[in-house]
Amino acid sequence: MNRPSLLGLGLAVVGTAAIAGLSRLPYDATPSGQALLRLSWRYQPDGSSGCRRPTEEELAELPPHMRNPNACISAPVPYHLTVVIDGETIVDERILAGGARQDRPVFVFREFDVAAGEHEIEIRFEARPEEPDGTEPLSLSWAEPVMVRPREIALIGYDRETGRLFRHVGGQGP
Amino acid sequence: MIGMMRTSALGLLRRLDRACNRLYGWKYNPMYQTGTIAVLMLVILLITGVYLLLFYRIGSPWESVATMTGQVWGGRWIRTLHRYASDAAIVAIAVHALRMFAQGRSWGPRTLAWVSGVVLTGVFFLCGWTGYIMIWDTQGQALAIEGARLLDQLPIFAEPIGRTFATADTLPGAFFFMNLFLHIVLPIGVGVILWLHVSRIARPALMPPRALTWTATGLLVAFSVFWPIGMTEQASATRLPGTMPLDLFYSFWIPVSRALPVWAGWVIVGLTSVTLLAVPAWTRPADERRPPASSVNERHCTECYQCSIDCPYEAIAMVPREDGRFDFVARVDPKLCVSCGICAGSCKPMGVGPPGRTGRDQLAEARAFLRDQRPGAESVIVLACSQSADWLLARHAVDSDAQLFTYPVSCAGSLHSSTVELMVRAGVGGVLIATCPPRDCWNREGVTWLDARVNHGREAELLKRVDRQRVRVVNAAEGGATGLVASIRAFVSEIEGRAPAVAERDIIIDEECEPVPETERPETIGTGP
Repeated sequence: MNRPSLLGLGLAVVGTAAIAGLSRLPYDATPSGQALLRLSWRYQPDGSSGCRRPTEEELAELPPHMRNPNACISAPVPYHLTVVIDGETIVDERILAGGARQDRPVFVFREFDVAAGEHEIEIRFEARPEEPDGTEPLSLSWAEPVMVRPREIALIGYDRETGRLFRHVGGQGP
Repeated sequence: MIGMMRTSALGLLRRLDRACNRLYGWKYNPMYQTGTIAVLMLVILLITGVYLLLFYRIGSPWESVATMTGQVWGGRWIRTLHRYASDAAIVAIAVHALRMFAQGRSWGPRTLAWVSGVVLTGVFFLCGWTGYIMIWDTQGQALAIEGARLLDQLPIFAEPIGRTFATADTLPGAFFFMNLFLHIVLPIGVGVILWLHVSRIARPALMPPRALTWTATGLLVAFSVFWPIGMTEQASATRLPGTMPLDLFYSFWIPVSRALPVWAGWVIVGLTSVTLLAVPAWTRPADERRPPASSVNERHCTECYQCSIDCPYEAIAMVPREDGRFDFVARVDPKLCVSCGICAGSCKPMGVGPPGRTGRDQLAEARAFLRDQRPGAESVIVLACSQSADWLLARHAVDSDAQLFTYPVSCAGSLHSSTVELMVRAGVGGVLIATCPPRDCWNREGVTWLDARVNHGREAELLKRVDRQRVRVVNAAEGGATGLVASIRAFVSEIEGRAPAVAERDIIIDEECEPVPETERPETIGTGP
């Protein structure tokens, strides 16, 4: 049987070095001069508005353990998100709330690559109920010039207390 | 298509095997040890992981890893070793899978091993993924975000997971607790699946030879000390990562994923998974080409237990027999039998083996060969294992030598010693058995059992009355084709220097075997009458 040779040992060293080297390949994750606009918020409408209590007939159709007379029954409300960057409409789309019956909160999570620098950004987020119930539907908007440095993320969120969209600064709230 | 891929892969592996045999010798050839090297890496990961766990803080993940990295005499090289071992494991697993695919060891009874191996790789990969997220540097964040982007495409999460990493710089400790929990639980899963992976084989080899174990570990430790990994900047919700080191083995998919739409990522993941999991179906030969499972001729079974002990796949059990001749009889489970034929070589009365390849079939074939070819008293017959030696010799045309006869056998381990006995007693000058290296036997233990039967009296042994000077076992990997041909030529010269062999007339082959002592017998199914 052969004994491992010096050349073999040398190749083993090279192989191990290759593993160590491939473990840390330099990767430029963000092209130079790129920044990001990120929209991230959760919106849950006030449970008391825009809904009604179940009728006796509706309750009777349910299994006994699911008969909740105080349940809030509402028609699903579609939302609409519009994002305009430097006058160009990037997003103009319908967003549905979560859950099979669309009775869960609506989540917005969108990211847009932008060049570093100043941009005019306009965001609109509004409810567009198909069956208006007389109450004022949600309508949020945010329009500001935004200055983003290279690799910076401009994060737009929703503040439940004030009911407004806002820009996070340093990862903090409004 | 699959056949072409297998042939190409086999050609590549044979070239690498030959090169590594020259450099390391067959015993320490890492190409033959990929499965055990992967297990060795797992052991290193467990040991180093326990140490790192002592210093990891879920409340300040990046800071705690940075502290460890600052410990020149402890944390830094141990953390680096943890990383390098996980990378080396991926390389070992990939080569191991390629070898099993190329050698056609991926279908039928081996389906469980293949599928569990694919799942094992997936779990291993997930484990590495959670390991990177634990650090919470830019690479960890990139893995987390891209993973979340994929998962958010599935309609199963009420809230987009990506939001977790998008809103605030300080993530809740619960996130890192869950991640740490997964990083600890997944290796337990690896252990369970590894058990499943080897559950259908007897006497699984889990660790490489000691010299290889220490060399591999030593190299990784040396590189960990002299080329340690560092830290990149802490992940941030308000800053995009810049240039960062990417671990090709675990993060190779990030650039691809970022360049493609999410649905395309899922299509790639789905197609890759289905392709790998479907390999057993794709590599299974057509019914007419599928080698049949072994069967037992109960008339010849003498309850010696040897075939059930020797079977490398635990496909033979001893079950109660009802004809009153003995208490138990061997029974082959066709669902577990890979048709390696090793049982044929283990059965002295020649009562078991795949149809057409039992000891009796081998004897009949050998008698026909001797009758037709008439090898002389100075001739050498090379019994060449078709997986290695026969393939090597085909390129060197040793048959052009009038004294040499090549006689392919499906696996050297399935060769019945009576075949060798018959050839020697028939007056052939010499019999040389050319085998695969023990660590590369396509049927796991064929070479080991052959050596034991020829040289160490293991049932069904080559009887003492056979002149050992006329029998030689050669490892075909030793020196490659040139080495094998040189060994054959040397044996021919040796035979030429001896007195001419004497042919016996009316050769009777002994078929009686010695039963295995009760203490060495495996478990039986049921009890005897």
